[in-house]
Amino acid sequence: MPTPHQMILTQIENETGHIDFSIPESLSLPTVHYLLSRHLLDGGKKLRPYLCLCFGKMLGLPASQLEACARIAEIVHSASLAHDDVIDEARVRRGRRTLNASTSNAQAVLAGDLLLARSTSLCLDLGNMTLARDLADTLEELVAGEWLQLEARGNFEISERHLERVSLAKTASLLRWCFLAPLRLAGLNGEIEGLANELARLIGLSFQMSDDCVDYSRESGKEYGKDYSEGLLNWVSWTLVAWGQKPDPSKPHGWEDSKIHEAVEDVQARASMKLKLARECLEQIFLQAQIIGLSPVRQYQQNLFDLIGTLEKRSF
Amino acid sequence: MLQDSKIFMLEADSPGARSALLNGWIEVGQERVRVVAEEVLEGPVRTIAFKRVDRPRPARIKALLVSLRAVSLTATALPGFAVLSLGLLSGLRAELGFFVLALLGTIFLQIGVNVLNDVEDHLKLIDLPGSSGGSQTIQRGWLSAYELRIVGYLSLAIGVGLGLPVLMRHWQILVPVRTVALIGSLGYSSKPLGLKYRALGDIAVFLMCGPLLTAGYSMATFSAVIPGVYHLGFFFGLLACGILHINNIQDIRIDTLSGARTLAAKLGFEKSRLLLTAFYVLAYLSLGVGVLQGVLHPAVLFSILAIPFFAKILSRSRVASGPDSPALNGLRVMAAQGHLIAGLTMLVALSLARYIASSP
Repeated sequence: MPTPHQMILTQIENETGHIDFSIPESLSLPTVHYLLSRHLLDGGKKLRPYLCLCFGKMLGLPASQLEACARIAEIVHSASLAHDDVIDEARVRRGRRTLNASTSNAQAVLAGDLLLARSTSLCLDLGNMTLARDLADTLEELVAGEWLQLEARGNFEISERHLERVSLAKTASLLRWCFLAPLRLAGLNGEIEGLANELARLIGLSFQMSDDCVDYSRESGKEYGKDYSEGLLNWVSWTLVAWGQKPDPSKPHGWEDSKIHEAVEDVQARASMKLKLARECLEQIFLQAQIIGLSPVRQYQQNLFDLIGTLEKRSF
Repeated sequence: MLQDSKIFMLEADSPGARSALLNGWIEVGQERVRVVAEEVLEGPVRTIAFKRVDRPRPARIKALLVSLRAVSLTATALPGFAVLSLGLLSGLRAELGFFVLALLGTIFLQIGVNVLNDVEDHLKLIDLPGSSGGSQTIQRGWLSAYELRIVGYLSLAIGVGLGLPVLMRHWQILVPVRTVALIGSLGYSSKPLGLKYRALGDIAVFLMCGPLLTAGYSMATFSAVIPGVYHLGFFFGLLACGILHINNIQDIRIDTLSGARTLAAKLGFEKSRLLLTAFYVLAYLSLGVGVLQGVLHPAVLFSILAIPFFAKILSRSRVASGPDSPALNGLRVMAAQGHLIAGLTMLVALSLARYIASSP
């Protein structure tokens, strides 16, 4: 019997497996094309394209243009990973050497820039200026999130508001574009656009919170407490500070494991609450779609519910 | 109502949600479960997610003291003491009874306004757990909005009552002063005035925490607006503006996106930083001018001991990349501390000067 996690992966494969996420080979930079394909565009969960496709199909929109948006979302995400790996000096991603580890920081940055240029070009091909403007705003938000996070390194007095701002910029912004893209293509706005924004905010924040909990998981295979060792407070360590427990330099991870565990439970509960609201948001979106005369499809709403359920169980 | 044992989701307009927001509990079977509004879904059907509060409450007195935001009360108390010290040093006869009434009346009014603002921001779901506004006593589940509302109205009533003898004595001047102060306090962020969102918030705070305040104290204590009072008013008013302005600088992006036209949002980040510098420079200039004009005793200049606080604020604001920068975190508290230190050092210096002057 497949686990919920496996079922979701199967659903994602069903929806995105046939989509070509590669970019056309550049006439002047064929080597870059090879590096991108090997290090960034292959692999990955394809979560963002899946969200874009499911959301659009839930609203009853045709698949052809949705697939173009799904590609754009994945290309932007890959570009952000290339840049993130340079900033974080990461050596491994998805079980392989990172692009910057295989080549150099400079080439990794330029490769990421090339992906962003391609994503912009693909978006302009769709001929929807509002969609293109949204993409530009999203790219700006991604930069803002990284910039603000960089500024916060070594600062253990950051506020929850700052943490939320960074999470919304780094994680929720691209999710927001994934939900807005189908709406723009269909010429929809108003209440349904507001709800799409809310959905992105709730899923994005919970996603980041869950990610930060994984930072303190010994089963994840990643370095335990990596954020803290890099001088960054994440949602878990921030919660400890908010409870009046300043980090203790004599402890390897700043706090005792029992305290960290307590904070992880709290953050997971908050993430879970946001996902419950995300479900409610999806119900309202479905209802709104019916009100404005669309023919929404329950199956895709259920797919999104299943994904949210998997996120709630922290198994994605 | 969707619930598990820790989370309760209610439509914001439902009686259950309104009751939970006001009273801080939800009835589950026979049991009352303490909850706080944790998250809001904005949409055609506004939904609130309430979270069960598991952590024990602190002692009521502690919760109450935190809700009063006692540290902020120095903003209205210190100018009063400064005016009193200045007048005594000038050899004037003070009516201490009226001074105490004016002081306590002002403090209770400020408590009332602070607390009722917290209640309203909570009921409108502007302040949720973790937000930078308010005392957070409701959001932590320490006190309910209902309890705080009682405290707020009681404080307002006490403040008005204590101020009445003073007002009746000098009603021609103090009634307009008090009225302007009350309108400014209650209309600062609330409709229909919403002074903050018409770029008038800084002026309102400047007047209420500055010249109007010091002039009012002077009338109450000495039955006259004594020389130097307006210079003191400028000083304290501009420092109070600094506290407010820092808050508005951090809200530039949010206010701009929502169309709220605060002064900081209108000026933008760079010019707002310049204005902040101007506030502190002009504050100390007003003291200097007062001393040069002979209406302020030089002891007031001991408040320069607070300059390191303001210098740090300005230096951190200079390295901030924008309104969302973490470099701006904690600056509002620092500005309030600076205001406190400036006022206290001034008071101590004036008191010492008076002691020296009265010694044989």
